[in-house]
Amino acid sequence: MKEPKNTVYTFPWVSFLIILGIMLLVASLTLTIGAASIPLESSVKIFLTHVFAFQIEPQSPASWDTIVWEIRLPRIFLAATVGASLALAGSTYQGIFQNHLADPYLIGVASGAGFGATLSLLIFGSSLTLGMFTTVPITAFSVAILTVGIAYVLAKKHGGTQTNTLILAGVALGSLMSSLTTFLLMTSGKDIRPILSFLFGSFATANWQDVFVVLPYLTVGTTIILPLSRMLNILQLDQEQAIQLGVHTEKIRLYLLICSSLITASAVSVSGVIGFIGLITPHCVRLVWGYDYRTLLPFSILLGAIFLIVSDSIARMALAPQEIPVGVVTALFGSPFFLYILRKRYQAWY
Amino acid sequence: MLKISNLYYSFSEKALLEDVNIFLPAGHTLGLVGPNGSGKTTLIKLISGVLKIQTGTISLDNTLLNNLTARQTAIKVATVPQDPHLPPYLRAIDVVLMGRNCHLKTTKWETQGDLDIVEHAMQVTETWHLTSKQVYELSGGDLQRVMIARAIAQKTPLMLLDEPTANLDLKYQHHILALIKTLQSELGLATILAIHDMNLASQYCDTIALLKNGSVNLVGTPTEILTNENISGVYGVDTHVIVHPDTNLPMIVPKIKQS
Repeated sequence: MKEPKNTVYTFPWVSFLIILGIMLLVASLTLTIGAASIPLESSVKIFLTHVFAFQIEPQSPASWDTIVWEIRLPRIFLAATVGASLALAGSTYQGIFQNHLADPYLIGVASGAGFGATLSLLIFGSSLTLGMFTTVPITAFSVAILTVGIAYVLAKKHGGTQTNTLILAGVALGSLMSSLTTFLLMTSGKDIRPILSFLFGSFATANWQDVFVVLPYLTVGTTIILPLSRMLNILQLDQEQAIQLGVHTEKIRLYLLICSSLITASAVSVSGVIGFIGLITPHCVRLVWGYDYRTLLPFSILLGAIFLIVSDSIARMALAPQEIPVGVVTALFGSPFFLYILRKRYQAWY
Repeated sequence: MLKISNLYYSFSEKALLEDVNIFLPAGHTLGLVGPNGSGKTTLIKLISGVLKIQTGTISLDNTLLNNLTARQTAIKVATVPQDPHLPPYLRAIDVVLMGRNCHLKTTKWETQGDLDIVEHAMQVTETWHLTSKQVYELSGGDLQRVMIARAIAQKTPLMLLDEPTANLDLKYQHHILALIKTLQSELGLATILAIHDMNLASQYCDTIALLKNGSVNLVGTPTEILTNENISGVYGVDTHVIVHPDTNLPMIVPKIKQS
């Protein structure tokens, strides 16, 4: 699906609407599957009843209402928003660092969040709450942002930031955080299963509050990042050319970095560390729709949502009633696919 | 018209440029000639806004370039870099369209008007047939012309070219420089070339500035500058000056001791 010759860029609306339709379809279908089989019609009615706050048809059993509204729907919404967040942040990171192997965890967000969550679970347990939220997402988010912030400050030199230095600083800090996490795990002597579940990522305890942690960051981040997508195209040249073409590279990079890091941190803080979605989704989009960031970003959002909804369904259904951490599912499917791309797609160029 | 006055630049306490003064009228070509490390590239980076000016002034048509944003500078100065990194998947037309960036709002996309300007730029550089070729498919000469097309699409009064003929074969060296010469008379461009090859500079530049250790030693016409005395003073190489049979402009060949 290449653009026709010699025209200015136009957004592929038709494909976009088709993918949007597929996303809604996938979401609806996963709503019906599970231990209790609930017809799609009833599920949709329950959804509408809650959203518009009036009874359409009070026929379905009350247990269905609970299953759909309090268990499955928030879980699907959370999987979708987290998938969208990670994929958007992943493609943005790949753009900022001019590196197709970058993922949203590249400069320490995930290991920072992991350390924060571990610390919080060991000190406060999983039940202490601050206002509306448990302490886990709050500490995970804070430590994640702190890690990236420190990496950025360390990489700053002569008033500018070298992306390579930033990657190195981030990776080094990330290793530090990971080793601290391991140290805590090995020495605590407490039940470490909730911590492991966080480190591998899981939606098993998803609720609406989690969705409302992620959604604002995703929404605000999207409205800032998407309009900068043409700038991301130019950032793929070297820094010097980008400046000579009139791009304030330092400023644009910083905006993009802040937005995508916040999006990632919020996603990780409620869902744990789910790998490969942020890395692979942008590559899938590139394979089909090309390299222009004006296509790449919006399509990554949709595909990321679809991928994670599907992965989570596999995570909860494959060995039901036992759950597999969703991070295991994404890695299981993600890594072979990634290796395939690495071998096939980029041989000629890299 | 470009005016550079009392320009100094240093990095890590090492002076890279010292007291550079240059005046360049519209429609003229200035060749920056000098040994490696003499400050040619630093000067180009300062004019194009990649490096911030520390002391001295650069003004173009009475606008001071010192404190302009990257966008404001890009409207005035287009640059053809020496060894550009371009993603291999980009098509030639995408590369040239990027030249329109400084005239577009950050959040806006290119319009048909931009495409018309790009088409013209690619026609005059004879790259219009290459539009859908990707960067990795282009030869060195094609890529250089695409880069010049991008600079033309930027529609600036001044164009800088850093070693535009490096890595090109004999045919393309002359092709590119003849193209620049034509463009500048057609579009009224002022151009600055950083160029190692003094003989090419002699044939295609109106003025030559000879740089050594970060300062401009001499400025003048090719005939004034390219003398054995000047060249051996800057490069430490003894040369013969011969005259090009077609243009009567000087050519430099090094003296060779017969053993």
